[in-house]
Amino acid sequence: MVQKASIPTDDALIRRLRSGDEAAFTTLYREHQAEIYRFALHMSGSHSIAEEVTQESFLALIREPQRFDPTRGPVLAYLFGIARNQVHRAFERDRRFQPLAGDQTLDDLPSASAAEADAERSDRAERIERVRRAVLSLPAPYREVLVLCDLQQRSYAQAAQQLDCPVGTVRSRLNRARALVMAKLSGTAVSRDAGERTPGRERAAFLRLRAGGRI
Amino acid sequence: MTCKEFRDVAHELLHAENVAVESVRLGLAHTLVCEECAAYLAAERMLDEQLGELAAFHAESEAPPRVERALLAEFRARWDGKPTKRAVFWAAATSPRWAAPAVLAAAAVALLVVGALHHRNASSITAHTVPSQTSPVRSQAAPSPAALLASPAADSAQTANADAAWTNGFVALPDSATGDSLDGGAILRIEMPASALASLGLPTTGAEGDQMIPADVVVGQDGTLRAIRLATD
Repeated sequence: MVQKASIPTDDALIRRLRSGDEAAFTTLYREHQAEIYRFALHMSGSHSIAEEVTQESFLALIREPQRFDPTRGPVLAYLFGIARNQVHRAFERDRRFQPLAGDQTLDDLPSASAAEADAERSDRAERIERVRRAVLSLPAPYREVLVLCDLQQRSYAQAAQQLDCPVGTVRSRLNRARALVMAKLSGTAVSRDAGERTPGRERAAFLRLRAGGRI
Repeated sequence: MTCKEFRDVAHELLHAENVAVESVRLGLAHTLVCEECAAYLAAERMLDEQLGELAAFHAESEAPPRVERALLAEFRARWDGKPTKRAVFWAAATSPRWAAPAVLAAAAVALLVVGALHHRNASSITAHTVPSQTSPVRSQAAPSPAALLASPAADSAQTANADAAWTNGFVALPDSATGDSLDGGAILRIEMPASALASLGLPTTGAEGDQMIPADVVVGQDGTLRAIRLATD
């Protein structure tokens, strides 16, 4: 007789985790760690911070599993909430990762150029590096929606749930974030106070792109 | 559609799932008559491609194995190598799967309490109630199925933990009280995962961890679970 294999739900895994089931924790970790790690990596530009954030997020699940409330959303959203707080804490601790007006120093991040040393790939590597710097230059509220929606392919609704804000806020922040990245990539300086709308600058940015024949 | 309206939905135009078909139609129509907005849309498209490259570059990034090792070490340290019996039992007992049995158990206990009040002086004990180990009724009563919870040692060691005294395969649950509190208790048939039973010290050799196995539990008069054994029939 063949037994059907069933995939335990996150809720079931959390219940088992609460009772000390190591296999349940391992399953949860392996299922979600990459998402959390990449979110922290895109947010910080640092593998060491991403590693630390991932570890702290799951440590919280180990230490206080009762704080997860399945009625408020899935486990991943809960983990994202913790990861988000950890990223902000890391920003507070290390001002190097605060958004700056100019380019940042990504000292502990293996550059795309190094990772893709082949000459034929250098253009692509350079492009990726520029985009990464532009994303890292965004203020955190804009960066996180861009990371979730554009880099991690979350829907607006999912991002809203993970950021605990209305869908409309996600949408407007994403539009703003993209405009700022576009301006950055076109060579237009990004204001430190990026929350203030600068439509003239954005317009100048894409007009410059167009004038340069890039679009 | 105005240029401002177009800018508001330009990004969504590239991701049709986020925008109504009518907006797509109006937006694309707008680009035919507005050169600036057409350029804006092209810039959005190019940005999408560039962000896509960045996402693809890190698509395989994940936490190094040492993170999992550190977390598992923390997990084991927290649980001291194995889950506590109480935690495992209550995790299983409080899962939705046990909602119905729990309600039945509570109802059974309530009925037994009412019955006990009405027949306090009766000498007969129903087949599924547990005699008090200190009650005079017990010494006068003929042997009953309830005696399966009693052992010769229980009388002589009333202060000892009941799990040491019970026979017939019953195992005292963690933190359960001594036999004194079993007065009027009941035995209920339930099913539990083999892993949960094993963690309580019951032999489940050969059973899969998630396999449901019938078991008998002793429910005290106060509604708490006192002991458990594998079902014998």
